[in-house]
Amino acid sequence: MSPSTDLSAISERFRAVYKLPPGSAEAVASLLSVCELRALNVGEVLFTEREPGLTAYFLLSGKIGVSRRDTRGLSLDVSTLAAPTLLGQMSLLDDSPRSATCTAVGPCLVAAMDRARFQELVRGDSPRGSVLRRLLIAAMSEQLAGANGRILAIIDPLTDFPVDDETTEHGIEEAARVLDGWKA
Amino acid sequence: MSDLNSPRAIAAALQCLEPLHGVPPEAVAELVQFTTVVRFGPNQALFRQGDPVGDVAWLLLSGRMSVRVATGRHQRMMADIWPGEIVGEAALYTKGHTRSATVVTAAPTVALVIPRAAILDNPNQPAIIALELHLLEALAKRLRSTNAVLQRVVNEQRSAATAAAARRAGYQRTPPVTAAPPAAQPEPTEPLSLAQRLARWFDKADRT
Repeated sequence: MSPSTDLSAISERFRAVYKLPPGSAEAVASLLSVCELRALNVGEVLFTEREPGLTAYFLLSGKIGVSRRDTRGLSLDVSTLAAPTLLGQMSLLDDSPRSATCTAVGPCLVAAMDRARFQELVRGDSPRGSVLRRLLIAAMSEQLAGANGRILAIIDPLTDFPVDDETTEHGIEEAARVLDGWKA
Repeated sequence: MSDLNSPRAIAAALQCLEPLHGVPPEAVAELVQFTTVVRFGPNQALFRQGDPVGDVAWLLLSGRMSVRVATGRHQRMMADIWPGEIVGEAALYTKGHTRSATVVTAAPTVALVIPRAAILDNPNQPAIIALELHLLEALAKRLRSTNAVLQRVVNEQRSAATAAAARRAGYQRTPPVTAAPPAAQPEPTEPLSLAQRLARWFDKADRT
């Protein structure tokens, strides 16, 4: 980690965003300290849709644009993620390819954790491993709950007006983005 | 499961559950010390949607539970919980939420009550690590399978629309339809809206 990085402040923000118990920030800081710090410039691609996922990232500062190719192969902007957040962890959990392309939309700082370190920590009995598991569980629980809420709103709308299929399909796409962690 | 009246019997039952396969017996025995066993009759609520999230989760030892969500007008059956699965895990890892669903027993049920403090105070206990890994795998599977259901529903609707258009145009041959899922119901006479099709899938899909 760079000496100029205020790890404790960033860790406290991760703790708060993922609603971890008070006192967890120190363990988050310890987890981040074993990552490789990377600065990204505007337009720099962190990873590309459909490529194998070899690294998980913690976005420490800045914003990342998320885009996906549609059925015609055109790139569509999906959302913009702001720090602090986790990125790319699903590929390391279930060996799935990247589900979107992530590009820096401004100067960004990410902490990168490679697959070997990720697997070692997530399956191990260290305090770093414990906080990593809990960050992942918190993030994925939020994704699932958020998507379920959107899906239920599509199924049981609060109005009596029929919703056309195009609008429903748009809502389904939004729910899918929440499931993938690309939208809150 | 009616004879789970000793720590030894509870530990033996736990070791038969998938999440704790391969965990050393002494670690499972230690987990039992942190927890309690609770028995429910059928149709008893563990918690209700909107309740404060509380500070315990449950590991199902036997029986079955149903997850239900009330929307503005309906009560939806979201999923079934089977032995070896954890329910109410939000209480263990996050704070300040309310319960997002109602969980009700669907049969006589025995569960292990896991207090938040047991998890937080023993982060490196092998049985707790095994439960967390199982939870991570289950969440990843639920995320992926829910996404697959969404994609499938959209594909079904597009195929049905294409087929309907072809019929209207007088074609005899049905255009290719994406592979129908095994549990798919026959196409009704009246065309379904995409939201209705999604509701059918969401009510019956096994997303666990």
